[in-house]
Amino acid sequence: MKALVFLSLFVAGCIAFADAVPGNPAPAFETSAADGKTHKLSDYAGKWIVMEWYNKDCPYVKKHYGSNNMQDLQKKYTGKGVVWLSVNSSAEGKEGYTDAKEAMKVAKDTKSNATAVLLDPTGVVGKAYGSKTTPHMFVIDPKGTVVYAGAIDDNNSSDPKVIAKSKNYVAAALDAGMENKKIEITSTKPYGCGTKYAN
Amino acid sequence: MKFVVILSLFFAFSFPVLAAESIKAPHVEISWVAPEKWGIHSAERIGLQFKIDPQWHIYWKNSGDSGAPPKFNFSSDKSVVSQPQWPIPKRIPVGHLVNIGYENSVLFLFQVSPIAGSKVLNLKLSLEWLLCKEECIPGIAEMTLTRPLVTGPSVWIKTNQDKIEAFAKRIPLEETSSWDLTLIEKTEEKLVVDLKAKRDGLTGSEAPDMFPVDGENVNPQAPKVETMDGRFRYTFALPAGRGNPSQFKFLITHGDLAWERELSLQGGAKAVIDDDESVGRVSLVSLLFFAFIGGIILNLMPCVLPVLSIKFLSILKTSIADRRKDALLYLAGVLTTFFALGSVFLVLRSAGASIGWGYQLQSPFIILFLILLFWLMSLNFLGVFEFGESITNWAGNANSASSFTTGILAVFVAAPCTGPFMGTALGAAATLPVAPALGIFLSLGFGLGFPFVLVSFVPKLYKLMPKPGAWMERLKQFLAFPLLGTVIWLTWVLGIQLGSDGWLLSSTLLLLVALALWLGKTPNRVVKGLAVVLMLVAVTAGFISIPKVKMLQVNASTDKVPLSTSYGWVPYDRSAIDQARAQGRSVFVDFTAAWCITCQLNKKAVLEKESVLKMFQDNNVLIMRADWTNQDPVITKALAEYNRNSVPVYLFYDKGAHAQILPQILTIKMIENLFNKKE
Repeated sequence: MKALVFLSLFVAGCIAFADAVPGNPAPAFETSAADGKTHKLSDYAGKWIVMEWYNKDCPYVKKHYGSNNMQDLQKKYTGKGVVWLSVNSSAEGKEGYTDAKEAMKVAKDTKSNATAVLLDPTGVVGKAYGSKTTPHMFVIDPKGTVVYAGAIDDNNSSDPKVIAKSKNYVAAALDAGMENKKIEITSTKPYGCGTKYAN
Repeated sequence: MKFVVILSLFFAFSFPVLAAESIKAPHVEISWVAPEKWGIHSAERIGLQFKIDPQWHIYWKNSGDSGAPPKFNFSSDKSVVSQPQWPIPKRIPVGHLVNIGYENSVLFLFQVSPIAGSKVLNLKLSLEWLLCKEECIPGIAEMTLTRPLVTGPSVWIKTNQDKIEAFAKRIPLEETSSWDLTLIEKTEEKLVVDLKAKRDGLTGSEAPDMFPVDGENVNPQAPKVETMDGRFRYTFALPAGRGNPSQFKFLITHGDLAWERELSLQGGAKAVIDDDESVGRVSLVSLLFFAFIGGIILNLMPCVLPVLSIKFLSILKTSIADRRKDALLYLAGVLTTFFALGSVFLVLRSAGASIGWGYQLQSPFIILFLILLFWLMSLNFLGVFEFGESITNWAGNANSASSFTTGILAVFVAAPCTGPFMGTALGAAATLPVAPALGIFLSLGFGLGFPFVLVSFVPKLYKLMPKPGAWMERLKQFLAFPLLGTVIWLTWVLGIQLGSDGWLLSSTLLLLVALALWLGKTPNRVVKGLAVVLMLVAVTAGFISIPKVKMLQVNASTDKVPLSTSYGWVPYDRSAIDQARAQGRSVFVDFTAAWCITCQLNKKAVLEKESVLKMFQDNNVLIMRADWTNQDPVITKALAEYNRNSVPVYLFYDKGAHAQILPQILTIKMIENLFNKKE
């Protein structure tokens, strides 16, 4: 079974070698999560999905968790039926790596409202999506098409005080998309710490 | 709960909120580099120094794949502070990412001038920075700088002043006279630009580095760099799905020097185009037909007519069977040459070279070869020498090899003349797949060979030709003069390619060749041998010295554009076009080359006529000349935008968003119409 999962991960990684680019189908994935279950993209077919690249020790992730900005967004949109997946692609030994148990604890301590915290220490999912930073955000529509990829908002300061004045691209994409309106900004340069893949 | 405590501890640690002249934060020390006493009227350049631990780095204004640039927020009502001046950064690989920033020690520079009436200079800076190794530590600090204002000059500590100067050298220079940055290609995935030094001594053969200033639209990875003839080509990767920015900005660095250049994409030459021969609407069949008609018209062009006339003369004497054989061989020669030129063209195209029709005439070797050939032909026609008729055979007598050779020759001499219909067909050949592109070249060949074949095969037409007689010898002698005219013209072309030394080189070669021929007429075997040696030495020396002369010319002056300087015509410059159009001026562009006879005729008969120049002036038209005499990828690229790859092309932008391509043979009336229509 494990070999099968590995194989499918490998295949998923290969098929999705191109990054998750707005307008293209979201790369498929299958990986374990902090809750001990296996999650795959097809589990959420027909739903809006947010993929949030996460690293508990990255100052830019802290900017959005320390200020409750991220948790508020998670709460607001999961309340509307959106699936919110935090993805930790930190390799073992790198900054932000957690095993399932620790991931659960961190999620609890930070009062995360994410649907699940995916564990991706091999970096297969991260590389399939082309995640460069934490936080790097992707929005996927119910047809499985990537409709937004990039920064969480338009202010790359690490100071949480700027959040109130920032334009949140993820919220804008979800608000427009869920009302069948045109999403104005579909791709931006992500900001934050580099995703901590294995060397 | 424990987590929150750790978190708040962390924040307290990494966000030292202190107001100070220098601060120590994890892995970095930040301090001012400023004068001790500040001259009351002095504008000073000061620095904010970051001393960074090994392996850590901070960021340039475009941080690259991750990270963030430092943010400087000055508040001071007693002085004026400039935007930060960023010294030359470097690319820093971090895992799979590329950051752009600084290691070890860096000074960010600011111009500061006190406002009149103040007694003390007091700067307050809200500073935010991000320091990274693989992990990152952000910092926020308030910094102050207080200095007494004194009458007289500012007082500096020498070492501080040296530090400022060392980094001031590394900020972008204000001047814009060093580099030409031009767009070659932009697709979804990549951006290709050419960088050309506008003056000597900027670089050796070493390519400057380029950094995108705008990280949103260009990836930070080092571009692919190709060194081309006198320029460098950079291919940058673009991030997917970021839309279409109207301009790109780059930092160009070479050693300690840096410049910033913008590259505009919109409002440029991509306007609505009126072109009655436009390729988009033309099917392959009509393109082949255009090529065929264009080929027929080529026969009447001044470059082809003399060669062909001689061929006609030679077949007058022969039987109908020989005539037909000759005609077919001639056609075979034409087609083979077109096929060969077309193949070379397509191979070069697939190798990514920017070339176009007439490319063979951009080589001074070919020009010198043609000069020599026409000189020998004309001397032979005049009866100066007869080497067993061998040279006459080249173009004249009925003989299978010679008919084939005449075909080759006809194509070579035809190259300078782009007639009506040819522009569209050849332009299409540049973009079509291999088979149809070759089809177009061959169609042109059929057109060129067609009249000759027709006359040879249709007895009725042949009967219209005059009867052979003594007049043929006189006509042959007369035809030497158009050939000599061609020699003069080609010498002029070589002069433009190689400078005045090119003229000297070719004339000397012609003199020595004539002398050798004259010596060869004596019965003395020794002298004859000498003549042969002289001929060989002269020809060899002539061709060998081309590269040397060329180098001399390039060193002497790079700004020399003899075709462009007269009558208010300015050299081609894409950004100048954009600028003029932004100001509501019309622009006329003359795509030309010295070796293009059609271009020269239009220039003399229309474009440089006083009445036409006055029309341009009265209507405030920017007149621009794109000189394609030598290989120039920028101009090849510009031509390609209009689906052309040959000259002449006459392009007119009116004051609106309208561009129009004028016919290849101009009249003064056409220029008048450009302006009458508008008013």
